[in-house]
Amino acid sequence: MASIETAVRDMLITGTTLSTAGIPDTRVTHGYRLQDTVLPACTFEVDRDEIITIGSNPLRTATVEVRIIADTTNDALGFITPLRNRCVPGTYDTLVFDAVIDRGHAIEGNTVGDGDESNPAELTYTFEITYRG
Amino acid sequence: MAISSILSSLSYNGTTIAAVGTATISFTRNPVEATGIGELNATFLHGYQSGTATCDIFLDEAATGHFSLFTAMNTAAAAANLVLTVASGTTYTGSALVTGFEVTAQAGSTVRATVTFQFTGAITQA
Repeated sequence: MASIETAVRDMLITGTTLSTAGIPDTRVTHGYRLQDTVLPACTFEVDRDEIITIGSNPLRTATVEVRIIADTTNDALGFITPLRNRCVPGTYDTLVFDAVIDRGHAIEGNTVGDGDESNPAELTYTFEITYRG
Repeated sequence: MAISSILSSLSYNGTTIAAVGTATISFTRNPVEATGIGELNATFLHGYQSGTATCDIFLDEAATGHFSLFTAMNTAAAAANLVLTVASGTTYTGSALVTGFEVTAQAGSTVRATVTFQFTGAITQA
């Protein structure tokens, strides 16, 4: 059964936008990624999902955070344009996304500590999706 | 008891309007003053009833009823039935004119429109 989570993943993996940019479909996951998996990777979360119209088949709105985890800040920044191009209105897993509104992004740079400790860079992109179905 | 708005709908001229965020109907019956000379307390009689309605919609040219409301405001020659159904079998009905159609496009948000109605004649609850 379709849900906003399955539909968002369907939107992200539709076509070859992200895979061409370096993230194959298998590295697009809801919520988390295993720490030792290959980078870059993409995770996403639906923060809020609420009804915004009256009636039995209401419009809903959801806030979605998409995270790109990459080895370096530059690698992560390279996904801004592909994400913008990919997160667009359409029908995904039977849900109809009427409007996908860009709420902006934030970047957390990669860090290297003592020895071999390091943290990858993380690009967080926020979208507000108005959908039905 | 409470009623979920998932049971509600708004229709105009027989068409159920899609993507209604808020629908409001306001009825008033103005008091008519009947205070006589020398009286110390004001007295009133019931006046006539009138009503207005407003609905906020998530505007979409493809959505049912949206642009027919705009057309009704511009070119309609007569009022048409406005029905707010709040739950199965509970309705507020009256003949209404579309008197306003205000479109708002704000950066970083969906496009919305506010449509206003003026009732003419009796308004009934059933």
